[in-house]
Amino acid sequence: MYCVFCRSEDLPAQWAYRGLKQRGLAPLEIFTPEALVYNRRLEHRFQAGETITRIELADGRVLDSDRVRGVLNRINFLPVEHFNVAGLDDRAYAVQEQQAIFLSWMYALPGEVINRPGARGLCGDHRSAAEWVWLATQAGLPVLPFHQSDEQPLEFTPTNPTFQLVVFDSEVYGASAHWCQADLRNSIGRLAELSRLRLIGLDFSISSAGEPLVMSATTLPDLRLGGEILLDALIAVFA
Amino acid sequence: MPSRKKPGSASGNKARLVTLPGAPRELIVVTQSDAGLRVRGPAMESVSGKSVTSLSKLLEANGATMTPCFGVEERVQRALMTAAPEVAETMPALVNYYFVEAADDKLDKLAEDMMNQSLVEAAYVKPPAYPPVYMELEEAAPRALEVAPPVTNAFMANQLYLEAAPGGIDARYAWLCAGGRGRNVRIVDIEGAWRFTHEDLLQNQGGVIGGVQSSDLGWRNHGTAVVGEFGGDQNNFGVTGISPLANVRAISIFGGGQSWGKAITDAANALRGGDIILIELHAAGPRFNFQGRDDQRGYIAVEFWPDAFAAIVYATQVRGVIVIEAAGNGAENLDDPIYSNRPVTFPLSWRNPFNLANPQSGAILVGAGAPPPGTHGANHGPDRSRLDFSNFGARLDVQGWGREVSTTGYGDLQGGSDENLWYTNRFSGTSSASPIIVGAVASLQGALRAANKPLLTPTITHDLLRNTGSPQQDAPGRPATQRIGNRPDLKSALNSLGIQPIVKLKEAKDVKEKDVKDIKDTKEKEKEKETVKDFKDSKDSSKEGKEVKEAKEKDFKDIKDSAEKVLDKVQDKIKEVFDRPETAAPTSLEERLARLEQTVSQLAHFISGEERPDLQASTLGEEEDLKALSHELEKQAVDAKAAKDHKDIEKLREG
Repeated sequence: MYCVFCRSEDLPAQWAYRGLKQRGLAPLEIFTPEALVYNRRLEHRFQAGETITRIELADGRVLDSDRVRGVLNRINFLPVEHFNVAGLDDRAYAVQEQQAIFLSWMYALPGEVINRPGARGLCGDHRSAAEWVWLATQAGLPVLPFHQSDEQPLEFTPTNPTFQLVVFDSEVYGASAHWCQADLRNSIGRLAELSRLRLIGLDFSISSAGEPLVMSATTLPDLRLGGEILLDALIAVFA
Repeated sequence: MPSRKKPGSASGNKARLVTLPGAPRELIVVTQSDAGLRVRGPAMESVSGKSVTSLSKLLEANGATMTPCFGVEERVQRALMTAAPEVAETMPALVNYYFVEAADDKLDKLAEDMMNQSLVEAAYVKPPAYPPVYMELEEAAPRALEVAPPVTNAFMANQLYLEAAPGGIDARYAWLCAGGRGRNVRIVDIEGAWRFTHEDLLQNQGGVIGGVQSSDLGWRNHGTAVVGEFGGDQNNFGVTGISPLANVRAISIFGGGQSWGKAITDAANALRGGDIILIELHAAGPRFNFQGRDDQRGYIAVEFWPDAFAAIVYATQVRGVIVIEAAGNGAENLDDPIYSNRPVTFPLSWRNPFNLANPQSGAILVGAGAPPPGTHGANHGPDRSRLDFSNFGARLDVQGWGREVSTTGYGDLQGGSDENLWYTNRFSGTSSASPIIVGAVASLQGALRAANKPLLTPTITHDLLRNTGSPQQDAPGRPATQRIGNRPDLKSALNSLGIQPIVKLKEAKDVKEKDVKDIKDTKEKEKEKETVKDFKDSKDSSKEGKEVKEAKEKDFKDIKDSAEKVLDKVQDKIKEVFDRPETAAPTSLEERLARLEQTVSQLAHFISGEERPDLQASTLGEEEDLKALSHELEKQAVDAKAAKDHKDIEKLREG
């Protein structure tokens, strides 16, 4: 089976789910983090060099790792409200344990997982804006001058126009992609490689001279910007 | 080069047409693609390192200023980034268009000098734009001496274009459909002036949002008449627009720094995909070397000029806005080879936009057709035949009434000293034809939105209007091969989109007739039973028989009166909340029941489709169809959490 993991308000993911379904990817199921976490039963076994996970959901569905062939993973945080009744220390411990088991489970899923979890995040390694800007400079991309200090916190509201590109398997997607010259595309591809993520969204600001400057990046891009072409690329990977 | 001279002296035509002062001529400069020009007020630079000294000096020497046609270059670039890749590839480079303001007598020489600048690819002077109205002077004269009545009469009976096809466009059918009056649709009219204080244009209008209104009465009458056709208020007097619930705003082409092209892009930026722009302008074309004439011969649609074409492409293909454009009153065959000759001052990339083999603007081009003979006692030829002044050709998409249009303004139908009370029976030209199409499209979009169906795109609108409607007819000397297209038929268009009226009036009437009969029969039977019983108890059979008959009649009358009173109350109450269809007051109980049925069918969802919030206008407007899935997932999450809580509570209890 194929899975889309996303929050209920994640419309870009649901758009992708619908698009993949329309393209005939089957069986395709969609799961919220709440459905996964508030399960009836979870089995996670390591045996003979293989990992087997079986989750029985509250709605009766069963997610068996043996049957999973591909995942579009858009979960970066898990619900933790159910730990609120616990004391502070216990809660912190339980949250970490929950994170660990789901990270382990998702990391061990067979087939294509986009993005596969990393040590620093369920949807691939989480990076701050500062880290993304630094990584972008390593990839040779022009970046928005970045200043951050205790006195001057990061300003998240750029005054210049902005746009986002979607990068999947080092290819650039989005209505604004045509604007990227070859050298810019190469640098974007390099950034994707450095990030070790298959799917990212790259946020640009436009300088007063009309030059695109990297502001930040995200592991949860607005997939709709990639349009039908991105869906075709996803289906090519899954199918 | 086109002259600034007002039309008037060179005509020789017999009809003395209304002539208006044209909009100022415009000098448009198109820079080379690698010029990288950036203009900020008087400052100018090239981001690609080119020298701008010569260009600056030329402007300075002529006391001229140059500004980006469509706004600050970076903003234009940003706006274009939202275009789909295939659109971006063919999109004219809006960022290269500049508008030069200088004294009118310097424009021609300045354009020549501009052409010699290395940074400039093209520089052309556009002729004055005029509203494409085709009214004779006496037709447009207000009955100024007449005193308007204390209350304006209802002129809806004069608006035959609202009636069923083929004579009209069947707006009344659209009004029976939820949203069919254009609810939640936005329209921007581009021309010169309006009378938005007119007594019949007070609802659902947002006034003038760009440019400066011309003070000329002719322009104002024109704009007022145009808006009245689709936006006339829904009330019991004057006229009623085809889509009276659509929101109407306007942008003037007059005012410093204003141009046709900028008006179009400004309008596009003020609208959402699926909304409507109306371009109520035409200008002297190449037939008479761009010279103005009293008879309007040779006047053509504005998309012929590169900046207007680019602006329309932006509106239709980048913004998804439906652009409806008057084809012009030049009596021109737009398939004529003359329109394929590139004026030497135009960019090399320019192609004849009237040739369907070339890139298209995406606008709906509207011709003027004859109304049914006998309308207002006039005969302009066979119904739906091309009117002699209307341009024609393969590029034309659709026709509207080009004569005898009753609407607001001018004052020949109701005049007086107060312009706010003026009405006309004689609005005409491709000017009067185009607003009919605007109203029709607004009705369709409103109905689609109310039905939660995808809105029409510019391309689909184009195809729909070409493929539905009442066909063009031949007229002596003006065969249907001189194409102006079909007249819209909203009934067939709506049905082809899968939209039906909320209730079929006749069916409802039939049902209610049966219901009333059943009630009547039942009541009569009950009364009969009672009276038979009474009769048995009575000794005086003849006297009682008479009383029974009288009682039966009285009872039925009471039932009917009582039902009518209840209906009155309910209808009054509903009327306070909902807009009611603007038709003649119902006379019979049955008809009133049908009306009530129609309203109740809207009440069934408590908030009718028309009354629902405009979700399309929200940031998630395009995701409306994903909302169901989103709600499903929300439920999935809530249910899972509830199950978990339940399990925890059980465990606590067990513990």
